[in-house]
Amino acid sequence: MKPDDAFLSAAPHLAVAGLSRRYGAFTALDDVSLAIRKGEFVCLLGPSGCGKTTLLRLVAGLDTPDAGRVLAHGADITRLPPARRDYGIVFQSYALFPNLSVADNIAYGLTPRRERARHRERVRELLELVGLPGAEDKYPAALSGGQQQRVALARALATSPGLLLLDEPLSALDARVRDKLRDELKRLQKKLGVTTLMVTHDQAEALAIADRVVVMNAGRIEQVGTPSEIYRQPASRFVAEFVGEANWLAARRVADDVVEVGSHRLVLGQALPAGDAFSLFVRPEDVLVRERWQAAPNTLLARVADVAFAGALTRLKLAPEGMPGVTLTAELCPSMLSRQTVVPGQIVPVALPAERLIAYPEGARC
Amino acid sequence: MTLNTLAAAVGLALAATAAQAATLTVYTALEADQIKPYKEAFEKANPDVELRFVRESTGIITAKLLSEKNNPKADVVWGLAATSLQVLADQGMLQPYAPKSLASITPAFRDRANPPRWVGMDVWAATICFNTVEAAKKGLPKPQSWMDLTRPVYKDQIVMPHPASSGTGFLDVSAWLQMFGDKKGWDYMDKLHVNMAQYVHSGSKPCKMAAAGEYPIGISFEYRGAQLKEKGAPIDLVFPKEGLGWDLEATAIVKGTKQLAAAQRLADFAASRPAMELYEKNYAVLAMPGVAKPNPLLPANYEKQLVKNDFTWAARHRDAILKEWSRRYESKAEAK
Amino acid sequence: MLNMPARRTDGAGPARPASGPDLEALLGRILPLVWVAALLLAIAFPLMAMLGRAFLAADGGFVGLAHFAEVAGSPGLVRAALNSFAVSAAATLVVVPLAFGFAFALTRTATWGRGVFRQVALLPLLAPSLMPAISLVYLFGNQGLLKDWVGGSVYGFWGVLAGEVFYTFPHAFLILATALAASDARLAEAARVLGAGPVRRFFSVTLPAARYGLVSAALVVFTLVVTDFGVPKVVGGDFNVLAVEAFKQVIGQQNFERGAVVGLMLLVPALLTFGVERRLARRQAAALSARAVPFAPSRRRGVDLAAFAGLTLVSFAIVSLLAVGVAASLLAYWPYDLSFTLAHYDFSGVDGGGWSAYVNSLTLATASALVGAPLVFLGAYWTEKLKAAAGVAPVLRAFALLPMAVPGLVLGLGYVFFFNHPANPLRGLYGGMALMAVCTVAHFYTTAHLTAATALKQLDAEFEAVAASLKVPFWVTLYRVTLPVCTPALIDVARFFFVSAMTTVSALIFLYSPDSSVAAVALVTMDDAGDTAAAAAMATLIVATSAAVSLALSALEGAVSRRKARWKSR
Repeated sequence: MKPDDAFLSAAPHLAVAGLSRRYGAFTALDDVSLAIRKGEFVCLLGPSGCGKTTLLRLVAGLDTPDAGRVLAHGADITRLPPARRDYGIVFQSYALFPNLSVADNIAYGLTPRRERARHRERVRELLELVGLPGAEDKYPAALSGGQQQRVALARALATSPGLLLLDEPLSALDARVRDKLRDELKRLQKKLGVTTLMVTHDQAEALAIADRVVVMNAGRIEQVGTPSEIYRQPASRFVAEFVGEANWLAARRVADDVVEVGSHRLVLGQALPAGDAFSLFVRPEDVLVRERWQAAPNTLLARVADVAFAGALTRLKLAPEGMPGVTLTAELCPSMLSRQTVVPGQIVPVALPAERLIAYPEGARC
Repeated sequence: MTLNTLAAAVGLALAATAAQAATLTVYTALEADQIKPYKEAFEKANPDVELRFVRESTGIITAKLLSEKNNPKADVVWGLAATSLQVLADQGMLQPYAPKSLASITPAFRDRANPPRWVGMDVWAATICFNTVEAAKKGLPKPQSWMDLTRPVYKDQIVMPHPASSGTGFLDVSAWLQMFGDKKGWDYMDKLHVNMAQYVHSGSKPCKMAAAGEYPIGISFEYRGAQLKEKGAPIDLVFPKEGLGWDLEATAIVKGTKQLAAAQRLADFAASRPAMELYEKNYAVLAMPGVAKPNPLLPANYEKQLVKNDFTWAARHRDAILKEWSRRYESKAEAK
Repeated sequence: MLNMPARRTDGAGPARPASGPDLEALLGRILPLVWVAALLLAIAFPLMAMLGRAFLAADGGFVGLAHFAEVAGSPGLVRAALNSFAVSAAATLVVVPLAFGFAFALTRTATWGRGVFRQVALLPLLAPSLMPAISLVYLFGNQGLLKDWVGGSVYGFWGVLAGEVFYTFPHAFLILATALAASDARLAEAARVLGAGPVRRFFSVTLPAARYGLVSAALVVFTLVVTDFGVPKVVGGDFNVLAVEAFKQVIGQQNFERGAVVGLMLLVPALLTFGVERRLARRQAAALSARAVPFAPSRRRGVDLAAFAGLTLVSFAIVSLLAVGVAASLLAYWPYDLSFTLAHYDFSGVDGGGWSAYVNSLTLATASALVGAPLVFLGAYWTEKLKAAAGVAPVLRAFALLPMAVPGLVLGLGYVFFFNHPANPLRGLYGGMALMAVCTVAHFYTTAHLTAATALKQLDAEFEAVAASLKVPFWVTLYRVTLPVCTPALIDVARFFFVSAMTTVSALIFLYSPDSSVAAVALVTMDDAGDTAAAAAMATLIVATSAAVSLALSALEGAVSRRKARWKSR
């Protein structure tokens, strides 16, 4: 063992430090740092133009940063051309070579080219792995979108890269195919243990598939965390709005952990940030509809404005008394509804649990 | 040592091959259909010399030679108007050389200097090609003289070569000026201009156009006229009674040629009797007396009809004449 | 089952040790520069040489604007410039509406035989511009078949105009057909629903949508006519134009300085129109939405009949001009002996080089196609696909567009000044076929480049990224994927070069030597000497060869496409 191996294995599998990229006046990426552990599945999530694809292309060496470094095992690879790095990549467009058969596509990066028998075996293994056994001799145009993306995945994995980069791999697919392939992708990644960095703008996809999600906005990282951290404790108002559904209530400071919304006072589970005006965040499933009135903090009465059946749950629109102009959305699961019926016009008691309320300083909405 | 010998042997062999395959660049204004037999005859007599012809009309070849004055590309000029060669001689661009058969060349048909800078081959002279079929349709009388061509009846019926590009065009203009005098000459051309349908690029084209009936009257030269008439074109050849402008086709060696020996052999050939016998097939008046045979299509007194032509005068004034011609007729081409 | 990934992920991680210099990056940087250098040599330097010559005296001293003053003071040249302008403007006014009508009938009506009409409209591309002029002489000359149809002489303004209309028609037609085909059918439908009548629809929807195409076609036609020299050379008579004047000055009088000035006078309108055209092209690209619905005309008997009649009339005119040229080459002695003969195809008695010129043309065209097509394709590949070339790509792209702004005549002049300069080490090339091929490829570079670049842009933009991630060098992907997929475009480019090399005169007329004369130049020489029938025969050979090679390459393209269909079959 060489002396610096210990250091190398201590360093993250992949890291970027202070990475910036500008295109003319537009800043695509602004001082971004991130570390990825070996075997981890990380999703870069954000709206289009947030810099997630730029970050991926910098990691891939398809673009060069204006500032900052890309490190692999602590070694600086910022200026290395793609061919000197070690990754496989899958694009939204599949980018399969149309004139080559599936087998030739998958074997494209296998060397040396004369070892055909070995490659044939490898291609067979990979096609089995991605669930397309026997597709060797077909041409890409003869395959469906989902099948093509499986071939693209097999091709990216063929050289057993240390890193798998996925650029919106599922975005071009139909919803049903997308969900199926998403699950397979996750299973495959766990099975192979290949470190994976995926770009997506679909928050549900990111939450479902990733070990960690990196939420990006306007060239910066807003939050890095596990899917549940991202969902439960959005670090910023942007994350809270971008990920999942939310109610937003205009609030004013009353005490360190108390705000006033309309004529109601609500207690929060933690101290308020600085400032006087806030936006109060609460997930629809955290708006609890009580069976009967019970005087308690954070409980109020609301008129049911609308009841919408949404399959696995029922969505209520509530107009709380004492909060003119405010509509709260609540999501109820069927088990709760079996105990009580809710009809429009009815007045129901509603609880907003203190530990589920998060206040963000009032600022420009995104 | 052996290596040196070998190298020397190879060098000698190469030199020999080079000498064997001497290539002369020959500038010419000969008619395209004349070059082939001339070239074959020379190369047959001189199998070690190959001729590479650059053919353009007289004006272009002259301009080309002048523009290459400091860096000549031609070795020999074979078949260019003597007037043009005199221009080059005046500029000191020609290598004087007396070909072997110089003694038997008519003195008037060679450069006056000794040794001569150019030696004549044959005479070509102005001839009017007159399409009888078209003339009959249009009721045009056959012209008998240069003056006839200015009659209003011929308005837009005449084509002639452009004197700047065509040697035939220039010999016409030069002859009119020498025959009629400067003022009368230009007056004549002013009137002729009124009747002129087009000035064309080459000396052959007017006769070809007349032969094809495109225009009934083409001012051209006798070789082309006779040849087209033989082929069956419905044309008569008219030899205007005032006299025929003419020029010599002549040969000269370009000063500074790197192949002087080969060039002199070509000059010898061009003035030799076998060559004259080739020229005879095309022309009725040759630089070597006694070779020519009468041409049935040409009048018996053809040679007598040639006007007096002073090459020195024509060469001296060539530039000025062309400028004046261009000023009078080119810029006003539209304003007729 | 899959043990290799496990082994690999145990490895050094996502960086492989660098081994030696990065050949790919190096090549990526050098190759585009080689192309830039080649284009500098083949386009920019000759142009600069011409520019310099216009300001220098024959002995090399700087004379400023003296040559310009001389030109301005010579009434012949001023007259030629006025004539050039007049005939170009007139040709534009005739061709653009005519080609618009033709394109409109083809794209907006359901009339019969549209495929055939389209091919007929493109026929003039196969012929050198001298051919229609020769045919015009046979049709409307003083011995013309239809002489009585025209009042005056064909020689002069009207003859030049007619010849130029034939010569430029397909160029205008192609632009307008594209513009009309690309405009959005939904707008027309919306207008119809809103109750606009056909006339109002035409003026409020169709015409505005095609306006860029119209302006672009007008500019192209104007430039083509200003710089064409074939038609006025044959039927101009005493109607002198700038392009012929440049030829007369340089070839006829070896007056290079005046030639350079005239060349500049030709370059200026070409550069201006080029600038305007490029600007328009950008605006048009922006104006077209990607989701536009192509127009699908429906059968309207009256309209279709009218369109058919119009298309037939124009097509008949085009075909007759070609047919007359062919027929003239087969008649013994127009107009006195109309028996059939092949004698005019024996070029031994006429000037211009005859069959050896034809063979030279074939050699030149083949060389231009075989060398030009790969060259242009690679150049386009560097600009469109090679990441390592990103820095040089804009420069290369600009140089690739430059030739479109340079008329052939001007380019040829530039070559005379640059490659025939005593100090130029490449001087040995002058007068040879190699330089003529270089000039031809350079002259037609832009159109070929745009064809190749368009084909490349249609490929998935990530092929190269994927290949790089798989550590496959770009040249392998170029060979295994890009080239096979783009073969039809490559054949297209080759065909374009071949036909252009067969038919072009303008640049080559300054470059040929007696041993390397080509067929299209021989046409000029033969016509100069009055050998019109031989010229018609040579023109016929050119058209027949262009047509045969076009057909052969189309067949090849078809075969390649069928092979491609194998990949595309579902």
